[in-house]
Amino acid sequence: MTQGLDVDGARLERGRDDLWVGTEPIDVARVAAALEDESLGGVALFLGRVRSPNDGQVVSHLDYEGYDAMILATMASLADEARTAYGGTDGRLLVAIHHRLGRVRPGEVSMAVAVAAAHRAAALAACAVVVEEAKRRLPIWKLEVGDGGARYVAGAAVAGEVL
Amino acid sequence: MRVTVKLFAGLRQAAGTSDVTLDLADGATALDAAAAVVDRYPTVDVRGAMVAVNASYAKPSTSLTEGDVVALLPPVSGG
Repeated sequence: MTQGLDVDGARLERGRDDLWVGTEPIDVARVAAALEDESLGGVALFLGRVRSPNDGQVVSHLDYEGYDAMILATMASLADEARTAYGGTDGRLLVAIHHRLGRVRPGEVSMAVAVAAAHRAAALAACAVVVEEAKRRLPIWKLEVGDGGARYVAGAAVAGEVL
Repeated sequence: MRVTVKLFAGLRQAAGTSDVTLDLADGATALDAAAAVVDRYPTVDVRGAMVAVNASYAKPSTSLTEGDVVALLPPVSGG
């Protein structure tokens, strides 16, 4: 379900971060390319792909749905937090987060995260943190469909805000 | 006051709808809104779900005002 989201997706280029959510396939080459800056010498890229089998079951596809009004704002918070933590005293760090919604099949990329920083250590560390926080906080859900039937994949919750 | 509650994933499936309009007493909280949804749709189990008010994560104790949009978010599984 992608209620309210047009087929071209929603993109937010702020500063020079590149944040995107939509139903089109993720253009992997574009993810890191958007973070061009000659002062940023380290670029780390993570791609999350749909896995099959998963938990011993052959996966036909995943159906992703999201709360689109909240996804880009949450991505922006993740980028700002990474800049504060890993951007050094001058806060030089750029983040790209692309997440696909709708039907995604095994082998296809569902999420891409790239971080450009002055040096490799900051880029790699920040990329890992953004990936983990994206999985923990982006309001996105996946229904896994395969040999075992259809089930919502168990997820994560932000502590302190749970009913 | 009138508020809208948005439901996602398993909660939407259990309710059979993605948007619920509620009339709540002044001073009601996000938790009150969740309880009202459960009253209307007893098969909806909100335990473990997170709350957002106007598209930002919020504590269940957050007070609501006219026109607010409350979202009940099951544990998320993006990536």
